[in-house]
Amino acid sequence: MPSRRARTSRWRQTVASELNLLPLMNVFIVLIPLLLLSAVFVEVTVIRMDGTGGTASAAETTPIDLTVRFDADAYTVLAQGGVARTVARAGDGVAPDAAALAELGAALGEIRTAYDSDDPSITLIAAETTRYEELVAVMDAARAQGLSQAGLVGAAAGGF
Amino acid sequence: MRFGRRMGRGRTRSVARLSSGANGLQLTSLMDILTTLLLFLLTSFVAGGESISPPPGVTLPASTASDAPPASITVAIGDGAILLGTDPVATLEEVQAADGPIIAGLDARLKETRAKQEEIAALQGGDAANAITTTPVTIQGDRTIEFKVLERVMYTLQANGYVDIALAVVHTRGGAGS
Repeated sequence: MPSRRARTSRWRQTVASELNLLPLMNVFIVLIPLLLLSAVFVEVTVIRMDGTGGTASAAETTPIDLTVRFDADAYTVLAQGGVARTVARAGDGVAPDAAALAELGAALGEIRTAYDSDDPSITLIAAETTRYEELVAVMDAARAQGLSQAGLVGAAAGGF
Repeated sequence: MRFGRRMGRGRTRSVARLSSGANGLQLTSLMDILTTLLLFLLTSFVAGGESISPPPGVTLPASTASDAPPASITVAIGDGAILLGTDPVATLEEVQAADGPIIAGLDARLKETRAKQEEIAALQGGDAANAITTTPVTIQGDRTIEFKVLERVMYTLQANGYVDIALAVVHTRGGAGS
């Protein structure tokens, strides 16, 4: 049987060895709402339209005037003024078709390889009723093939 | 006397049990959650840079573009209206019905903004024309808007000297067209 003094000293040791978590909890409870309020859960980025998206220098580019025209039922790809490829599309007013975009991307890649070009610019000739998300999707398909400098042109009037 | 001594012993035992943590709050699991949450929030915290939040009613299209948004003038298109910053400047009906490519309401507000920028540039002794052409403009377009509206907004911006245009999108990691 331990003496009363021994029991008291063990009790004191037990109390002293516990971590005081209260200040840490206070810090966490202040920090977490602050960070939750300032957190960005949807990352917004931009597509630059000023021609700074590419990395190729002027000396090593071979311009082929690559253009994608949004026709009523097809994407018409033009290179150096002539029709290089046609890819079927769903049309205006509906969400862009992923299969058609994949095919368009592959076609752009093949044309670039065929012309042995590293020119990062591409022009999109859009109809008035073309949806914005389809324009962005075509720009994405082109960017995946290294065509990072997209320009927009209206089919009806002058372009940008 | 005997009873009192027994009571005294019992109280001492219960105090010892409480202070040793047997009946105390188990904070370890809570601290684990809080630490994980804190680390997650710290990694998603954007220190500096421009953070864009589109106005209500505007759903940005998804894109794989990864350029950071510049500190700029913002034009939002969607929910039936065009906003310059947070102020509505035209309705989409007006834009659709207009004959010319210039959007009158947006044009008037851009002229005011441009005049202020030129005044500030002149006071700072800088080149006023250069201050306008180097000011980026970010267009926050709803994914369903037609190119006709976007074209007119871009035309109006360029007519006022704002040529550095960026299109805001929601960043996605994935293949082309996602």
